[in-house]
Amino acid sequence: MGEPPAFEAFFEHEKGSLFRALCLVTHNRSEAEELTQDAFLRVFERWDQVRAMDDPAGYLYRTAMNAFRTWHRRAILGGKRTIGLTPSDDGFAEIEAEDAVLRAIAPLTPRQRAAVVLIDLLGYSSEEAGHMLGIRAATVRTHVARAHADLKKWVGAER
Amino acid sequence: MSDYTGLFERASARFRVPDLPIEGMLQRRDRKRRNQRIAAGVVGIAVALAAILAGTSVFRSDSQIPVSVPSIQGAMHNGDITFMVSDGLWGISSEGSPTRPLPTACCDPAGGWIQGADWSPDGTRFAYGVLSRQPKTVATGVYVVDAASGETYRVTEGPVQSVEWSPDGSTIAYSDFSTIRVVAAGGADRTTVWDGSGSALDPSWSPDGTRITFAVPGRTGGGEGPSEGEVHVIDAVGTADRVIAKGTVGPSSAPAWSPDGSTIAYIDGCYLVLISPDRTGPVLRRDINGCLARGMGAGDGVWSDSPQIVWSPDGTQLAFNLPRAGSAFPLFVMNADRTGFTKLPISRHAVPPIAWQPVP
Repeated sequence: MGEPPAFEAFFEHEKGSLFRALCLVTHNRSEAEELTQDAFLRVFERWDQVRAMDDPAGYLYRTAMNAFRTWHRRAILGGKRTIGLTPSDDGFAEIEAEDAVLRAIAPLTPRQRAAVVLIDLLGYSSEEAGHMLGIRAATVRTHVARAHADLKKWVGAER
Repeated sequence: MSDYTGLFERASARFRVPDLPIEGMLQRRDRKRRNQRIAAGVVGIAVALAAILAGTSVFRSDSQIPVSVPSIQGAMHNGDITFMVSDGLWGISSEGSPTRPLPTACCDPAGGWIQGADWSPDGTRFAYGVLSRQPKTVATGVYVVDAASGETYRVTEGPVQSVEWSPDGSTIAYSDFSTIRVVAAGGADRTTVWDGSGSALDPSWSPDGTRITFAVPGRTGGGEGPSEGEVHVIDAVGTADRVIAKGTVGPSSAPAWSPDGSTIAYIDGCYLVLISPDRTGPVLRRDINGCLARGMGAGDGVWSDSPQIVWSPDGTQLAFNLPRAGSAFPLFVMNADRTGFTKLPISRHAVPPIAWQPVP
């Protein structure tokens, strides 16, 4: 086994992929940035334990998904968007217009998008994704199947 | 990776990663904490003013709360097995001495009922949970009482199923029925350890404080959860969740980690089961409900509303209760080698939960 990575190296290696994954999940770059920072801070505070793990990145994504779940719950319960605590991402629509995947997952709920991103982008199993999101693996598979059906439509329309 | 991975990678690459310097993140955290402290200060001043105006001195600031003590696991001896009676906390020795009220003024259920209890590793503090069907009107949560002074403070809000002190006495693991969380004994910091599908009950720490075992009961009706009940072991930071046992793990299978770290005890139907945390040793069972003697099958023994197992502080014995609705709960002790199975003569008015007090 090699030397466990330093936090700085781990951060530089993972920050881009985590931020981009969270952009797909939240459809809001400000929220993605905030969640990314929160996840890294939590990992940083436990780095002595996390660095010794077999899969520190797995812990990072699990932490990020936990933060996302909390954020999502608060957004629902507190009407966070409606009272303007989270800035809207006006430029997101432009990026979305250029990409079939973004358009395909746009109608999904954030939780459904999280399931799809964990499976299709990050390569987790439905069981692992279900555990991270607090839903059943079967529910994850349902979300993913629905997204894939939409994706086929969008991608097919572009060809 | 799926057939769509390439498409998703291309989509995600459209987002430019912002500049996220580590120093900036730490400054942001510090700012957040400072704001929280300021907010807490404002609230504290308001509360203190309210207390002065009301002429009461029941308020206690977090700064007075001892939040960390050195680990003393293994250095303590067996005190009383404690349980609740309507007028407070009572105890009995494992040899069956007459039950007696303890001097600690404890525990006000605040209109709900006490669910989950545990002594701190040094035996000076007692944590308990309050549960209610009216959480809006009852102050549910984890509470800590100082055994000497009776001074009590509330650590968390929300219903509690079970509590257990970490071996170093700095944190408390608890279940709110669906989630296993760890909270600083002073209430300042709280983390979620497990929040999966189904219920999560009865957390119990490994003696080195790195892992937690808990039960996930099998689903009933249309509920969530596994088809069979499970005993889990998870790292205390919420990773490496493993199922170490499956079976007739009932509504509360009450896994409990032995003080020497070698054994997890839990209830499976008729049996009290002893297994090693990594499943390398033999699985030992003891019929604790007379099921087999009465010709019942092993799975017929899910009889108890909320059984609970506690190890003696020196790890040589286990105590467990077998509460049944509408009747006094029987309290048993057994040696760790499964001998000496004894029913203790406790007061008929006693109610769970039980806890075993460590003494120097």
